Amino acid sequence: MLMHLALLMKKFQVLSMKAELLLKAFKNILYSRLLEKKMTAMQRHGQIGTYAGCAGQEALYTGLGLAMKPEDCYVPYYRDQPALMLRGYQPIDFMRYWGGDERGNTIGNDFPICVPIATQTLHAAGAAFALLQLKHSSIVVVTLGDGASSKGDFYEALNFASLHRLPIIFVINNNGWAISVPLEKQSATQQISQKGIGFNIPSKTLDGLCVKTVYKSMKEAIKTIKSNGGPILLEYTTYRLCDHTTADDSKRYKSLSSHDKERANDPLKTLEVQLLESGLLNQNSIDLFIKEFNEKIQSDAILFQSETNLNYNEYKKHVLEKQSIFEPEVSVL
Amino acid sequence: MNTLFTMAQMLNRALDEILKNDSTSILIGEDIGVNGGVFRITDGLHQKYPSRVLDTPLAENMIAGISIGMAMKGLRPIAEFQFLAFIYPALEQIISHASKMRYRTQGRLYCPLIFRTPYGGGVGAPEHHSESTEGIFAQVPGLRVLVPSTPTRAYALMKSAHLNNDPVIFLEPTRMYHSTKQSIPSSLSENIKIDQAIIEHTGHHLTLISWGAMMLEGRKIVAEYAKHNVSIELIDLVSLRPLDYQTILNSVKKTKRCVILSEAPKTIGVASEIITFLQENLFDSLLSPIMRVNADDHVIPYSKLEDVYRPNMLKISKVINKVLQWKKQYA
Repeated sequence: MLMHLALLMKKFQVLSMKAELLLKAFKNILYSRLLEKKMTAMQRHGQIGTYAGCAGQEALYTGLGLAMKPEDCYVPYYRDQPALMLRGYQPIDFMRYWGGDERGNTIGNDFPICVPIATQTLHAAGAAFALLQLKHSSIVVVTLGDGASSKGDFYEALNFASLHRLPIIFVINNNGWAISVPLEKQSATQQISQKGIGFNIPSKTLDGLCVKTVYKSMKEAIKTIKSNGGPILLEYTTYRLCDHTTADDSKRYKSLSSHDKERANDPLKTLEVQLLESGLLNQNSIDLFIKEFNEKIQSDAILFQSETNLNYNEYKKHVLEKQSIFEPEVSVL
Repeated sequence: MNTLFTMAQMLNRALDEILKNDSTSILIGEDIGVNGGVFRITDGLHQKYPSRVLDTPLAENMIAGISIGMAMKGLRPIAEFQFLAFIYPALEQIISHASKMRYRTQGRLYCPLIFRTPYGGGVGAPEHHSESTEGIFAQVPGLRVLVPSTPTRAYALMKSAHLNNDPVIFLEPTRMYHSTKQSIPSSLSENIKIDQAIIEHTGHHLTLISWGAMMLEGRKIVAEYAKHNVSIELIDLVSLRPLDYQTILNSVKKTKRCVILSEAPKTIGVASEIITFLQENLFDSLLSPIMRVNADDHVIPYSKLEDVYRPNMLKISKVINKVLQWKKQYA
């Protein structure tokens, strides 16, 4: 058994992911999945508004989150929960964000969660230009979905990034669906990574369900950019086990058989089986993790629910740095 | 004899000094490098600061989007859009991101950037080159919308806008770029309060409020009416957002009559907002209705009909006469 474990450990290290890191990845995926379950329940009970989950795609966001350095600049969109958790977000931050409180978008030094599709790719290119201009050695990682690859912002960002060899990784979460529209109605190319080639950007399509693959490819990309410059485009194929958001019902456009196929490839289950079989993890420790994470999620939910009287005037202070010298008041009626 | 400087030259001087004094400043835009911009506002600057005066690909949405990213990561970009109508592809970036970044992140991130663009008619340009749609931007919280109306104000306003930490839409009246000339006073002001209107001429019979190129007509009106002993107070708004409500209020409290002069389409614009504000606050003390002289509420015509479309001296004086004679006629 010991020899078996040693062999497995060696195998993990060959894959550039040490056992300790793999455990961290598993815990992050588990934590995110438990939080998603709670967030969805809170939405159903009217405690928060619309919520976009990321079940099935956690290996991608965990792998890239683990590969990044704190000083790197992360430019997310709205499906990035596991990566954001590794970048410092707590459950309360997601509850505030999706529950309608701007404080949920005030965490760390990264760019905020971005909703207008693909617009963040240009911010990321501008940020990467600034890093280069100001001679910082850090890099930018920007994420987008397969649907976002249809927008002009994406192409404009690829063009600018390639022109100036910017230190940026474009990460595409290709989960096959833009709400209800499948990729084959979105693009005539078989792979989105083909589009990067047209801009002279090294581009690959990889398995986004395997945290080891994601981590290793992201590490390699970061190393390449630091030694030879960027940009790099990495498309990761994933499955969206959840609906687009809690306002969506994927049964309207996805077949039950495709649901079954996707569930069979759940990255949480795959990794759990691997770690249990390798002996790096046992059921008892998984149960303890679940208990620990659920306690934190629950205490944050209680905190969130207690935040009922937001002070509008405090929030309004942040429209301009210096407010108007004279706020007109209607003096009659 | 003093040398006279145009608004184009004074803007160039301001940008030159910004680049010289602030290593985080960067100019980006189409044709602004070797060519010096289509109106030559950045003439010679690429030669002086080659890495910080950057020709971009021809994509306005991209220019806005990368400016936002640059500004959030330590640079202070000043981007040129060749004409106001060419900024429309960038509206999503401006309205959904530049204006909202400070609020959405509760002050954690913000966009110290300037989007410069010529605007307005009167130079015989082709279609889509003469628009005066400043009202679109003036309605967006989180933006500052600035318009100079003299060469020295353009200089000081640009330098002051660069020192502020919020996104600025900087509208440069095309008609004034090369036609308006000024000698530079010995003590040239480098700073101007960016949200304060300027009372350019004091008067007591009527307040005339304008901005940008229509200030040319405004100044002529003041001089003409002075010949007939009518004293007009002329206000250059300078900032369309936020509006300097206090200066407007104080002036109209005094004169009790007001006309707003602009070349924007008539309805739902800056002029409408000023009228609403004044009637909400001064209804009882006004001697006449507040009126506006705008361009027609109409698509801006090609250049041959532009002068019919925009307010001219005759149209302006008709409205002013109506306001001045209101009590006599209708009391």
